[in-house]
Amino acid sequence: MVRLNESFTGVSDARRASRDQFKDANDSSAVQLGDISFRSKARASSTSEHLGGVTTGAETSQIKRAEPRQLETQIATDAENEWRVNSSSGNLFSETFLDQRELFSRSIPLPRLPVKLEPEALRILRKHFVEQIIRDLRRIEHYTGAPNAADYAASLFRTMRQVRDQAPSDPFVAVVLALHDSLAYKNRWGDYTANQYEQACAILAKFANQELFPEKVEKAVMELEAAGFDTTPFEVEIAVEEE
Amino acid sequence: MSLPATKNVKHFLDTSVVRMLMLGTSKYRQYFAKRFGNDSCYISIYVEMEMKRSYLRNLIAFRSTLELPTIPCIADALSYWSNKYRSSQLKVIPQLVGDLLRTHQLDFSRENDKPKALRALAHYIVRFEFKLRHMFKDASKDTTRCARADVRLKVHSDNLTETFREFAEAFDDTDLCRSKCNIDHFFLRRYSSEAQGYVNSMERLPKTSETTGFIKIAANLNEVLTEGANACSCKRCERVGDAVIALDAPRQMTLEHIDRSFNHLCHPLNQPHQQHPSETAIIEAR
Repeated sequence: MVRLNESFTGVSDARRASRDQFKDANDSSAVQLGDISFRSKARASSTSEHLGGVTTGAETSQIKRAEPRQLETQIATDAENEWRVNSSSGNLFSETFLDQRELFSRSIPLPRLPVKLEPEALRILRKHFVEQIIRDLRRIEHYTGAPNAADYAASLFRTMRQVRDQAPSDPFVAVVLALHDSLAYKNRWGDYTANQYEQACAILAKFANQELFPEKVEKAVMELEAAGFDTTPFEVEIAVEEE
Repeated sequence: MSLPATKNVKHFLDTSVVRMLMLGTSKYRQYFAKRFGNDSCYISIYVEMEMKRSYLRNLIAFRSTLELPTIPCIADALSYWSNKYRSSQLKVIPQLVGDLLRTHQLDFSRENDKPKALRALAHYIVRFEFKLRHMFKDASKDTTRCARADVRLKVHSDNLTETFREFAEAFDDTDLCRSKCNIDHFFLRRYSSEAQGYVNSMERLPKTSETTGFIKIAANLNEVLTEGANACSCKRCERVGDAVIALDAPRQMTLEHIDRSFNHLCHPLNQPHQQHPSETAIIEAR
């Protein structure tokens, strides 16, 4: 949901273009533009926005507004497209918008900063996504070889891409993308057996409940490989010089 | 065209075979899977280094290109790379990245999809390196003591760009790597008579498509033998890599290769070896 405050009406074309871009980048998450500065402070405690849920007015009102001085150097980020917010005046648009020439210059990118979610938010996000992924994998397993499986494959890939975009700082993304690539490339999801899907569920469930260090991620990917999932399936035509 | 499957043979794979097993077309991968069956496949860390040099390092370079602020979208990175780099090793990168990012349903001309592409590519690179280390058994033999082979991806889950930067810097520091390795000892002492044998046979061979590769390698070895340790560098090693692999291959294993040069490199060593048909030949034969 995107709610625009009154100050947004009657903005210049440049601002409107920028707003559309912002809206486009945030089409799956709830963003309240006028309040970004203090909402971002409460990001860790408000996970509904990460989950793509709707933020209610009541929920927002519970968040204590921070003093502008405290927020001068604060960075607010979004999973899709990161925006720097200097909320010292409390008005996002009067302070942070770029010169119109900069807005339309392709050589000057929007500021991109790493997304860093709090551990608790990451844990909730991971649980949410893993449940969805396992549910779809189970359905594909049930309908292996039947046309119905395609419905769940589509849903599965959608969720996996949401993991990529909405929880990029979670190491579990690496495991999800390994499975995504092995299933999505050339529609290979249709070639794997029910038993392999069952193994995939077990591997995801096992590693979703652990703190994932790089070694654990490596182990999870190699377990997928051992179950027969080719996690690097991409083929290239290599002109071998047989010299 | 297919060769009979082998039984209980230890296969020592040349880089060209490893590359095909990890990146070749599914038909070619199936050919090797059928050939090797359940036998153990081995590589040395020198072969691992050649894979990193010829493929992983280039993928990282592509990702850095895509990351540049002056490259607004995926399509721009792909066209920049395709127009700029023509060698066979570099031409495969846009093919592969294109496939990967299409699989991720990304819009190549949309600027907002660039960060998603960077993430997908980063995870693929890390995974490829995992797989390279785990897919084959280690032959536990590298008398060159190649320091470049020791450069690993140290994954920082929260900052993959930094992971790649560290790897690239260490891998590209060829002066430091050369100062740590034993390649001069390898050619000038340990295998000096074998290297001299290659140079001698080069002079007797006619220059045909069958011998061109071997002659180039032997000419480089001649320079090493003439000029000594000063002629040894990572660049030189790239040119004589097949000789390093043949000389250092475990003699009880079969060296599996595609390149013709190994026919001339293995014979004088009594190294068991098997040349495999090219990908084109396999596809045409089916």
